[in-house]
Amino acid sequence: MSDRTYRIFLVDDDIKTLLIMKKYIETRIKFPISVNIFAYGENCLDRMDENPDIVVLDYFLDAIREDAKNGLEILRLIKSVNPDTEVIFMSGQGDVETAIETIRSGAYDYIPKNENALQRLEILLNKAILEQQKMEAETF
Amino acid sequence: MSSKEVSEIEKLKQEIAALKEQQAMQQVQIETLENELVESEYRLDQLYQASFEGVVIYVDELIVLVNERTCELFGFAQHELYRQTIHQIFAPHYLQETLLFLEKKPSHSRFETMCLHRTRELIPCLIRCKPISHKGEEATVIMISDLSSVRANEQRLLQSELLYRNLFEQSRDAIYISSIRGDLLEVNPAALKLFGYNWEELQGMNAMRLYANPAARDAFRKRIEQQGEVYDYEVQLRKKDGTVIDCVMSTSLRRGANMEILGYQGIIRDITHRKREQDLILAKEVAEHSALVREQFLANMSHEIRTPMNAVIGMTHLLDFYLDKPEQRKYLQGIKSASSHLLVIINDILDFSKIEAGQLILEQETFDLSQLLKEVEDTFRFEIADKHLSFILDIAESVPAYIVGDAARLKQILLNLVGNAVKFTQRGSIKLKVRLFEEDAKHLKLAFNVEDTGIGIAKEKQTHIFDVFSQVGETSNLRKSGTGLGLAITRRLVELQGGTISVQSELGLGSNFMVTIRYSKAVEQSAVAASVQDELHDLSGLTILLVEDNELNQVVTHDTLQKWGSDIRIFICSNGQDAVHTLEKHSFDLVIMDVQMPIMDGLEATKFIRKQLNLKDLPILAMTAYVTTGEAEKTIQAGMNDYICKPFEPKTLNHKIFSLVKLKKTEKGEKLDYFGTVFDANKVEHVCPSDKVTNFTFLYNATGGDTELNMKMLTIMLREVPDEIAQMETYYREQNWKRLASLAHKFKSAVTYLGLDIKEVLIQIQQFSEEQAETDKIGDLIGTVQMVCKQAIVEIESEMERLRLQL
Repeated sequence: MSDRTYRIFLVDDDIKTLLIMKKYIETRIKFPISVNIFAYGENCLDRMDENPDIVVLDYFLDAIREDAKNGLEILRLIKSVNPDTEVIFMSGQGDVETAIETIRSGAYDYIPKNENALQRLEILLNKAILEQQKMEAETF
Repeated sequence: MSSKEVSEIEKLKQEIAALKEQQAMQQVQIETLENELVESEYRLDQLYQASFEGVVIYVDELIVLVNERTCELFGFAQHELYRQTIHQIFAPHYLQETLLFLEKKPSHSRFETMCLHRTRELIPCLIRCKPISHKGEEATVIMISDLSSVRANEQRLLQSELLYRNLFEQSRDAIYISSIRGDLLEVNPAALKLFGYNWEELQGMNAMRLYANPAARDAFRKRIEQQGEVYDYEVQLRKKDGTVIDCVMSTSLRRGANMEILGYQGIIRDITHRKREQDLILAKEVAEHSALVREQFLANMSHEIRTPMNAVIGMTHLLDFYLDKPEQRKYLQGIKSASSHLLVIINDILDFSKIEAGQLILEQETFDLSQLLKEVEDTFRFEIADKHLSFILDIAESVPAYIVGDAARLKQILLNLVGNAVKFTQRGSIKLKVRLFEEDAKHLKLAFNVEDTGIGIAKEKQTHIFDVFSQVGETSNLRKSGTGLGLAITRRLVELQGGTISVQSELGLGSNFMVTIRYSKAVEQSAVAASVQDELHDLSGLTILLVEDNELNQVVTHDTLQKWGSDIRIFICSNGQDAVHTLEKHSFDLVIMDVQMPIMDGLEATKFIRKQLNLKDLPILAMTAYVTTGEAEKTIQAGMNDYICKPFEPKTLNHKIFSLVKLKKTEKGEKLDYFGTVFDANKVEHVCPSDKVTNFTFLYNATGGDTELNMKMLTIMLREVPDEIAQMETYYREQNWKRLASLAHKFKSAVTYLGLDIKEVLIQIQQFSEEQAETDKIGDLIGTVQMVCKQAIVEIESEMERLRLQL
């Protein structure tokens, strides 16, 4: 099994949430990972050439800049640049329609932002990394 | 006719012919001469006309000839001057002496005068005159040279000379010019002043004699000979009176028109002052250092004095429980008040040195003002009763019950003023009045008046009473003892808090001291009010480790603790090393640690406990006799959670212990738990006090108890939350529903991390804004958010304070 470092990008327009997620992930995920945080989806797109394995994306990204692209647009752009990157969606918008829409657009999974969001993120990240490892092992 | 006659006639004929011929010859000669004369006059005229100087010929003061140059000079045409008197070419003021000169007609001599231009402008001219014959008449010729440009040049030269002369004379730096041998040729007044010589003494003196040090002189001379110029050369020179002065010199070679060396010139600046300034700076540094040493000394001394004082005061408090005979209690009261007095004096001296050293740091805490005022009254209750005085506490209704500021310092100020009032009043009353002086949105200024009907202060003394070591009473009056620092400290404390102090007094009638101090307004009071309690907390069931080397203090602290509940177990170690060993084997709810101890001191022990034993959450309360701010900081830096000064006030110790362990009695008996940093959410859920709006469980759980990150998060929220609420209000006012919805959505993250119970409110704000329905309710909803967040901010701040102690 490869023990390479997995790159995770976190995109959220709330700096607090970014800091919390980063800390939480870094302490909880048992695989070797490196985490980058972005307050703008656009900045994350600029760094897609670094081939992140997983992008965790907030649905609304316009708190800081009104004209910022929303998460769904960013998701489509990520997928068009790098289809192998898994995108996990997070949103305070807890409705099923949004969830379905994001999954249809190619998201790996959808996490409603509630008290359990961090635990769920941990589970999903572990799952996604494991799957990638398995896939890489098969390729070799 | 005779032949003789014929021959005679012939002869005459011949003579006539000869004469005729002669006449003709003469005629020719005359004509020639006349021609020559005309020629010559013409040529002369030509000459005059062509002259570069003005030429005027006059006969009997009437001008008969002027040349073109003259016309050009005076602005007239030739015919305008012809046959005019010569008067009109000279300036009226100069006319008389000019005519006098002309009358003498001295050839070869010159005369300077002023001529008059047609425009009445004066032209400086040089004139020469000579008698000549003009067309057979006796005439005078005047040659006129224009001096305008010469004069202008002279003027310029003079001005330039004056300018440099001024520079030379006025320069504050000494300037000298010397010959090639070094003899002084010229010096400016600054030089005379610098060296203390007069010019007669200095003139011709060799500059070399002014050097204080021959070696430096030769070195300087050598350099100047080699380089031609030397700048900013530091050298010591000697004054007439022998004083040596520090100077910097810049000197260069003085050269003539053909570059030949004429001598030297230079500028000297006295830098003795600058040097002295440097010495002063050095002296200041030394003084500051010695102030530091003094501070250190005071801290040490205070430690030495406070340790036994701690025992004395502590034991008297303990004795209170055992004595019941009135006599005994009276003596004990005496010991108590004497030791408190002694402590006041020690504190005075210490406070003063702290203030002077700029080390006094003011607290910013919410406190109960009326409680504080009552305590001040209580302090003097017995004395007031003894003297049969009445005490009136008069607080205006507009004065808020809670304010934010330094309670201890206000108490100190009031204790001093009321104490003085009690001390100097034999009958009548003492009034403590509090008024709201002024207020704005965030701050308020309170006026405290302490009025008495005492002996009063003489007018001439009123201005000095706030000075150091000034005493109000006569020195012979032993009852009015004190350090003489009280009012000086009071004034400084007041000023430190942005206030003023003043006094009005009439000898024999009483005094009125007025103090104004600026405070911040306190936010919602309910939660804070609860914490400012007078009664002692029940500490039953606590297990405490007391680390203290002084046996007396061990007893005092031990016995004091024992009184605060049942089943309080106290272990005593007498130094830091013992404490560390004990902590390795046993667990405690709290450690009370003396700072200065043999073998291993409190700071070192704490660091060891935090790092090596990894007991990061164990509350450690420093007990220190060191009362300087720096010392207190050291205890916090070492990892202690709080500190208390010796001798301690039992109530303060009780409250500090309580707030450190945050007692929580569970249903299972009297077991205690404390609220430390939380890793495990399950453990913490039930611990959060119910009167708080915040609950950091979620946050701390998410960050895994990383204190640094927690601090960062709280800092961000402390900044963001008020901003975002203000932004919400703005959007609401502007009816920018789209942005308001978005912001309300975003704000939920802060609400989650702070554990605030207003998530539903925000969802409603978001929903109403999105749908633009029931927007009239949004204002109230934002108001709710605002209210809760205001309280949350206070709690965040105190939480940060708590976290800071763990860093």
